[in-house]
Amino acid sequence: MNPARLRSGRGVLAVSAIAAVSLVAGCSSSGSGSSGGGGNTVKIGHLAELTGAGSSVGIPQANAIELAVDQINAAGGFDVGGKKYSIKLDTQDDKSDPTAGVTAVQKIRTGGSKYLVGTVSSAVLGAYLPIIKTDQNFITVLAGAAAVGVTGNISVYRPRVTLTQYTNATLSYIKTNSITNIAMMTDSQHAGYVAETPTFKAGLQSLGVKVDSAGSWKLGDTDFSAQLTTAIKGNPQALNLRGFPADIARIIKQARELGYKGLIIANTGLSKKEITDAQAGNAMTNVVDIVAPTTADLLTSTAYGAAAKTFNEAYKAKYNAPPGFTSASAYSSVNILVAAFEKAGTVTDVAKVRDALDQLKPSDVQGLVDSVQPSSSGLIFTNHQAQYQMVVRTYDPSTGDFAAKSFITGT
Amino acid sequence: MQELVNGIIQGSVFALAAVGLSLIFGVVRVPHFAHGESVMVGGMVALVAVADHGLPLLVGIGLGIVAAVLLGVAVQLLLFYPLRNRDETNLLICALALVLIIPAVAYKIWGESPRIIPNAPDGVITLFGARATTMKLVIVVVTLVATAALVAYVARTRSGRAMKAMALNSYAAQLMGIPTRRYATLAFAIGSALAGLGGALLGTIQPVQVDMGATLVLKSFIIIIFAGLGSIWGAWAGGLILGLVESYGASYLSSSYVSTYSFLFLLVVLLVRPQGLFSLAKTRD
Repeated sequence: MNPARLRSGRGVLAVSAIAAVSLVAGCSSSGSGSSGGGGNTVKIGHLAELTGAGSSVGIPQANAIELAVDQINAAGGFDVGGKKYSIKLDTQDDKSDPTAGVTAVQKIRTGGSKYLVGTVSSAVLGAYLPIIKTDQNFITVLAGAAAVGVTGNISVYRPRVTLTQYTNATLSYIKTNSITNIAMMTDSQHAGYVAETPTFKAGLQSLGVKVDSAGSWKLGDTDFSAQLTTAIKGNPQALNLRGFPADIARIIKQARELGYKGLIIANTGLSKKEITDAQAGNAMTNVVDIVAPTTADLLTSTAYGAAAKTFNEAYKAKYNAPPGFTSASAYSSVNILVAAFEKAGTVTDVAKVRDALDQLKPSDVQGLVDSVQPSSSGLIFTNHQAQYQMVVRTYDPSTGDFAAKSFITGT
Repeated sequence: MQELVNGIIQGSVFALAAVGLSLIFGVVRVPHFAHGESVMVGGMVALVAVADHGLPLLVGIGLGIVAAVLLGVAVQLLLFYPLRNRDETNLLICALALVLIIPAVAYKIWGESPRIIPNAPDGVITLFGARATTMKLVIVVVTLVATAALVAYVARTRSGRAMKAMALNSYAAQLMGIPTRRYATLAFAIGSALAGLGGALLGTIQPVQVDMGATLVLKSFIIIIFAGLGSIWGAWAGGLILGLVESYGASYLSSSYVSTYSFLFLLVVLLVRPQGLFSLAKTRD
């Protein structure tokens, strides 16, 4: 026999064997819920930005999801129809990259998960959305991505702000502070903000605010001097920056170096880490960050203060660091999904779980640490989307971090 | 005026990387795509030394240069020299593999958070209405001085002239008794030292991150192609031109396509003047 053919034959045999084993493995885990020698478990996919440009937000978000799962499992799981279930997370890194995100979601689905939590980047969400959006047998609970218009899909729920809320809160602040001209800079790879820009511009126009310039940068850029030179040429009363916090900390520093002393309105979620990494502490005077509140901002809240304090302490004990910008929503999203399982009395009937999500009230959820503003019917979700308070944060040089200055509601 | 200053500063950053690559590429004739990784390693070591171990900035910069030299010499001795008689495709693939392997190892060691090296002077100077920080001006001056020193070294020292001979014809230089392996390694050491210096200085004004090398080396190759192979002053001038093209392009056309302007400029130069802006025969230095 020809040795080449022999090798080829063995190769075919090996591939066939692997395929057969994979098929068998696939057949044995065709659903999200299972019971066996190890007890009942529900498998939940977890899409995380553990590496890449979005990791400064993605890692604390992933940590919070892991913390919620660990706490639920350590407490003996959750109750569904008289049976205790624990959670098995299938964590996949999307590398802050849309293509890698699609691959990761496909892997999660192939692995048998009917539920997905996580997702930081709107660009990644936009890439995988076509795969899952009409799937009636799948639910994704977004913890970070704020792109507008995605919760109209049957499979998508978002216990997290949308960029429309960012826009409305920023317009409210601009109106209150009588700002008349503004320069804008947006991350050109932040799909959500790019899509939101026309709405923001229209809102500014309706307030009679002149937009001096509207520039952009690319996620992960390091030098912004060209864009900033154009932006501050007309000496705008305010400079608005929309994108990821690591980039924005650097932009603020370079704007001050170029002599811009005016108000900077960021929509990003700056934290001590990004400010320290950019050596930008001295540049943060006269900067406001208008975003969804973090748990640190909620400590004084009557409704969420106690939960926020407990969460902050648990997070710090496990990771020896404060929670990140989207950590609270991530932690809440796991608890919301679990509350829906309990209310539905099933982990396998996705339609029932969806109905339960639609009927969920804040009081149904243990471990809800976000500033959810219930609907007029008292529900968390209205058309799959939750509403939140927004916060205006300013820099505190004594802590080297941003902290809540005031809250904006009704956005 | 601010666009001019921005362009010169950014161009000096590109030039510091391109000048070292021009020396290596001119003398050894290998596609050293990992030259950008020497910039990254120089910056990372300086960052860790200063930010994490509290060492003075100058010590951090020195350690960054040493680390970059070690990397460059290791690449030459362990990869390019053993492969010198192999097919050029082998060299090309191995050089590209390094661009993937080195950042992956760096990520495991240092993580990937982009960070600026602390404790650098942060004063701002105003020149004819344009503003620049002290460190940015330091980079412009250091790049100019380093380029002049390299040109003088190549023109006036015995080892520099040996490298020049190798750049003209390596085989003939070997026949004349020039120890080409030693001088090739020296070219890697000097070029990598400049890369390490560039990385450490760049890290004081822009964040250092493990994936920064690929962009820098791409721009360095663009510069030495359109400036003309083998010209050290050409690489310096090419860096400045590239910085100015990006600066004015972003200000007067659109900031969305900053990197695209480099390639457009390269295409135009190659179509109009295929031998490069500073032609090899006249300006090899």
